[in-house]
Amino acid sequence: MKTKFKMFYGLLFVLLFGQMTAQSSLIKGTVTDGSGEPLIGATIKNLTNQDVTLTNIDGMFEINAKNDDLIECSYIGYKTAKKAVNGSLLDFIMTNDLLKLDAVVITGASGLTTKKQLGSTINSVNAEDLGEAPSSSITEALQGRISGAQITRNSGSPSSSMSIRLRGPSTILGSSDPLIMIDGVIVNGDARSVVSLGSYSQNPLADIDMNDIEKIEVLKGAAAAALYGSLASNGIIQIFTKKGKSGKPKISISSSINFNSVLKLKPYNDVNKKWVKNDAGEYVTENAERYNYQDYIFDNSQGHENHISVNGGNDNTKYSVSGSILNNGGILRNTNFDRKTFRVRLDQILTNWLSVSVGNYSSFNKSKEIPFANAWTGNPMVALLFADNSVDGKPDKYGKYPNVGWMSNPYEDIDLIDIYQKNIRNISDIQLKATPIAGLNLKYTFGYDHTSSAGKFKIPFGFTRDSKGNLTKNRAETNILNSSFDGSYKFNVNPIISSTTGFGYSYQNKDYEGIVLANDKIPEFNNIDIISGDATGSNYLKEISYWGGYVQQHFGYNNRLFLTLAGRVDGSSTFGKDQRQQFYPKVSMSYTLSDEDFWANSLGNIFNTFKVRGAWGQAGNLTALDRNPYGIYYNYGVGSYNGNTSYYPSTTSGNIDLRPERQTELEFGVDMSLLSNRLGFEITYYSQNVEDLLLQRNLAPSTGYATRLENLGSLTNKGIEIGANAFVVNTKDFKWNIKATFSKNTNKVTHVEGGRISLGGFGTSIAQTDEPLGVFYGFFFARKDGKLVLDANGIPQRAQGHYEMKKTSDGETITVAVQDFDDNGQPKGEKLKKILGDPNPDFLASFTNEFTYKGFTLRAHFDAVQGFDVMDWDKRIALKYGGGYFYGRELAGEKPKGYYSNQYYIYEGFVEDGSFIKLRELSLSYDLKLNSPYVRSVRFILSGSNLINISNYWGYDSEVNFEGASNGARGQDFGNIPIPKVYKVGVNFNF
Amino acid sequence: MKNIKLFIILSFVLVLSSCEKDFTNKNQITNDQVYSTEAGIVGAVVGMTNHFATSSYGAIVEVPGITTREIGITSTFATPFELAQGGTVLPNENTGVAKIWSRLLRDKGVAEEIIANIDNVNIEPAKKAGLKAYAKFFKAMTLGYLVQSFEKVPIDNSFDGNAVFSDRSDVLKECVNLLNSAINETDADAASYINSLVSTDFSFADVLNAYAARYNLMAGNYQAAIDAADKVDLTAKSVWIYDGVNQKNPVYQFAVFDNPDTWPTDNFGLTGDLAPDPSDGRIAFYLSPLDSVGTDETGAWPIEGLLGFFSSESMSIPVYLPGEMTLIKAESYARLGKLADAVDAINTVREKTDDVFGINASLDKWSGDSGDLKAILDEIYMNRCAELFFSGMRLEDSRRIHNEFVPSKEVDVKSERNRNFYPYPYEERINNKNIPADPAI
Repeated sequence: MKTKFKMFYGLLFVLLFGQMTAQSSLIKGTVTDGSGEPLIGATIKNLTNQDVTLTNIDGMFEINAKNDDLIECSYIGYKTAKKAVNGSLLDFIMTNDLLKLDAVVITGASGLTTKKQLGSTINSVNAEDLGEAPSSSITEALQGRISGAQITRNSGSPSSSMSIRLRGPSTILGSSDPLIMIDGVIVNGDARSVVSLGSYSQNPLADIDMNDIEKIEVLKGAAAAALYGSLASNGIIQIFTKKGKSGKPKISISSSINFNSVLKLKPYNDVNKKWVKNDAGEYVTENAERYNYQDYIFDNSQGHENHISVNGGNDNTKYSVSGSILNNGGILRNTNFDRKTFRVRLDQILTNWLSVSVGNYSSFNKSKEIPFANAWTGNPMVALLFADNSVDGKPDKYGKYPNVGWMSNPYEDIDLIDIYQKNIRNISDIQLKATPIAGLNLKYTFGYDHTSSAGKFKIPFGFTRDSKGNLTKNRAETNILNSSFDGSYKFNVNPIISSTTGFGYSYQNKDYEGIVLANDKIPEFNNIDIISGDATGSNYLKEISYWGGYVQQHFGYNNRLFLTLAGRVDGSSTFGKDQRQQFYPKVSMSYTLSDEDFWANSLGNIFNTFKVRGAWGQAGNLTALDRNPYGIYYNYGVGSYNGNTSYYPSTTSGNIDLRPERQTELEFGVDMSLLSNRLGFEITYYSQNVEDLLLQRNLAPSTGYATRLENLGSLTNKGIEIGANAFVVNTKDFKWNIKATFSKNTNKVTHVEGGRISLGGFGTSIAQTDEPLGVFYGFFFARKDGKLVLDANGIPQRAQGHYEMKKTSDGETITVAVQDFDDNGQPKGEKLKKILGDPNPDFLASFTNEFTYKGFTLRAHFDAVQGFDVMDWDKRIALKYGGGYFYGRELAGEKPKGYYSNQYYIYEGFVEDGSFIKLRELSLSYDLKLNSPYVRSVRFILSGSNLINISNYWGYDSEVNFEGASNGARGQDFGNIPIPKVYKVGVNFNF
Repeated sequence: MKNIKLFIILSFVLVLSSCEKDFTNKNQITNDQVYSTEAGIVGAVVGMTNHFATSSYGAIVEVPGITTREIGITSTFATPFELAQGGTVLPNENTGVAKIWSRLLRDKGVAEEIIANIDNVNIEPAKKAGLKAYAKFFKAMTLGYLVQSFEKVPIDNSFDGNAVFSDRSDVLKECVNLLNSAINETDADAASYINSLVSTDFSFADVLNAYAARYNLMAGNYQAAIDAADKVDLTAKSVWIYDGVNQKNPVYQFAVFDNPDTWPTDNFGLTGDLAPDPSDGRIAFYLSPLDSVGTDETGAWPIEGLLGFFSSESMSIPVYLPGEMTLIKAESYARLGKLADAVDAINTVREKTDDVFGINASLDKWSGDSGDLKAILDEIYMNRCAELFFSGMRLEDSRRIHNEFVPSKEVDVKSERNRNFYPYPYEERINNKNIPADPAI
């Protein structure tokens, strides 16, 4: 085994570098960690003769070397060590590399590089760091693992989209979500919805099985990536799947079951009374039974997942194959998510200078959905809000569902609405790597991501609120093709100065076609599932391309001081021809001070490692117009009337001058490790400025149009992000590791046309100059000297008065509410609106404790989002409608009738503090190492996610957004499905 | 060896050279295509007809209908609620008001583009004349419906966002001029081309004269109104059509389909002395009995089911009604002092049993005071309300005939109308520097 490895690596390097190795004697050694535990599989390299080997199961190695040869020992998670040979024994005691400065990173670098050389931050998360908590997707597993990232699951639906904000929102019209790459290939990261279900969308990364992931790299901000340029202006999340390794096939099987339930039910009207008018026409109460519909709407559900992988290979060929089956129930009754995946990756060395890697990821999923949030038809979550729960919602003996309010009956919605979404995803890539001459690396990547989607939305014949029924079918196809060529040439200018020149060009093409067929009168027999008769249809096509090229020059001085200069040209087809191609410069540096002698001799005892870094760069946002790819044209829609073709203008006027938003980012920070490498910090400050922000501007209707896209706004994000890692205890049997992150981002809109524009959330989310993006704007309580002004019946009232004009810092004029009162001290004048809250959190923090005792690992991961507001529409409706908690308080006589219902229009009353601390993960696992020839190891896992939510929020869960993945409208809760509490039991076998 | 390397590197470059950067919109066509070709202009004519018939028309009927009690409200949704309450409770932001304003301005914009560009497009003369005349008719009609709801209106749309507003009299003069010019330019060939293009039942020549009669009456050109009305063949039918699938009757959509919150009121919303005779055939034509009332806050108006031209999603809606022509003549005679002629015209409408659309009052002669102008005008008003129910004319009629009534600025859920004109929609107010002050009421 050992010799095989040695021979293979030796051969490989001989071939690659074209040098002959000198024969010398064998030296032996052991590699251990600080606690004396042997490190298996550490790479030992003789830097003098380029010989390479790995340590065995006892941490031992043998390597050819002669005296004074320099031997390097490296192992993931530990600092690389170098020692000169002196004699025939050479032991390494490795220290933890808290900062992972020596870890090789791939994303955003021109060729392989170490983190040490980068001037901007990169977070690398290994699969084991993602924890054992049951997660709906990779994105959810990343929650609280990366400083500077706010990751929100938009709803509790099993395949719900997630919103990822790296260093705050950077656009309004486009998406702030980062670029998603898998194994070097740009994949479709757009939240998708096949069937139209309001703003609800699915997470495209729910297609990927977590077990296939080796590691994830996260890059934030415009300064970071010359390589991906403007597509990566929101940062990059790159996922690396597992690769094969030489040796006997290794088979892993994992299996788990999970149990989902709702963490908290909402208070409802449980007062067994109702209002009736007496003979005098006054309202009095009468006994009535009150039902809790939530008991039926929510359901404890189960899920299971099975995964098998086989890895192996020989010197020239390596493979990794895996497959998985997942079925997960939703907590909304009659919803689920079912997925099957299949993956293969093959790496082949073709000649001594050329290798190829081919991969395919196939995923088939189908979900059963029930409408919620702002999907209006057949929506039990919203029907629940408006329902008068004094009626038993269950169907009568004739199968008829009683009316419970002006919306549909939630029982009927759950039982009869029939929706599915299906996606077939296929991601394929081929990557060629060539080293035609020493120092020159060329790489060509061709990737293809294809998704075929299908959906059905059926309201059966005889449905109470739509008695003719309705059947809609959707088909969609999305293709992303990308091809990129990257090269780098590395040489040493002199022994201390190294130079790497990078260059490349890439091209992406995205196309989409969607077809909808619908019929709003369907046959009585519900087994008929085809559309016949008078069908209506529509069809939409979209094609977009992006391209870009770059040149990057990287200098290294003595492997401690690095400088990188880069320039990029990027373009996208969606912008005006004269504007679409732009130049973006970047510069970054890093300096590992602790490598200098003066440091080592002075501060080196305290700060074992100390690196300073800084980066400045610009990027465009090429994807801001992806949802409006033809915004440059005056478009006329095609229709038909009286049998003739008709053309009619869109409400959106064209604008041929549209150009990409431009982001300028400056970041600097330090990476340091202290106390004999037991404690590590990464601290970064950043300042981001986005100009030419694209906005949909409202036009005077006398133009003949309603809106036009214009480059109108600007915003800034400033913040600090801290990652910390500590080995509190590190002995052979017991280890205690703490990881923590803290991020604070301050977002400010610095200019929008007219000083204020509406973004969504029923008009309450706005962008206003000098305020954070997406603040809430609405009616507020009449107050005098800080006290509520009550009416004659003691009921709070809406503020009234007039508006005065105020200049904002960008010279626009906005209205500011001023309260007025009449002689009796009662509000007078126009009903007033003001800013009521801010959905952007004050700070994010996470705290993970991991204890390892022999084979046991216990991990607890808390995640906090603090100081943000949520517009709680559920609470609003509970003020006025029969099933609502507050309505019940009036019935119970705790408040006069009308006390709450009259506050229905006072939006301030339902802006809530959404701050929460969640126990994202609590897991206990046990690793059983078996020296059996068949089973190498077994791991048992017991874990839970979202088990505790510490929050004063009134509704189910403040961590949702009914506007789905929308960028500007955040923190909007309306009829949303809360994030479930999940328990998981699992077992992994390694053969 | 070197050659193979070179070959492979070159093939990278070749794969990359197939980069497409320009995509035309395959979902839609652009304005350059529309206004430079015959197919484009014809499509735009059909397109604006389609949009007006299926979208604008709904707003024209619904919004003033609520203001003038043709429609009762059964919900507390802000848009109909504010309209039903009227006065200064009705804000610039009301989406109903915005709907009439923006939809009609879009249609008018297309008509203006056609008028501006058609002369440069190669189209055979008869077709070109018909298309141009139809665009002029469309501009006149959209201007007319706008000026029925708003005090001042921009005669021409403006891309720069600062369209100039004109007084009502100038707008009506423009409407009449456009129609007169269209009448002059339309020969039989042009008319027959338009008739088959835009509808299954359309008589362009009659439509032009009917609208000329309407706007002459509104402008106070009474003799011209009579003359134009006389030219209309009362047996001709012109309708906006709906296939019930891709285009649905817009009034059916808001007042009948799917348990709406806007319903026609009992007796066409007429009360007291103005209430129609219970045997008036137009009641049974337009309304089906329903024992229901609207919400208290909107006046608890008794409501009925809607029939007429609106009881299915595929029913056609008349472009004008023949009865309107007779009533235009009645009112013009009355205002010219020819009271006997006026009463004759009223009786023609009251005794009608052979209306081409089946709107037959089948009543006896009017028994009121034929020497009393006010009584005659009231009778004309009652007949207009019954005959032209749900056709978007009520606010104009109420304001013209009962102009002595000044609506209150307070909430008013009972009077015949609770506004004279609507406030200018918010988006126009904040984006157009030429916007006039809102009307007092």
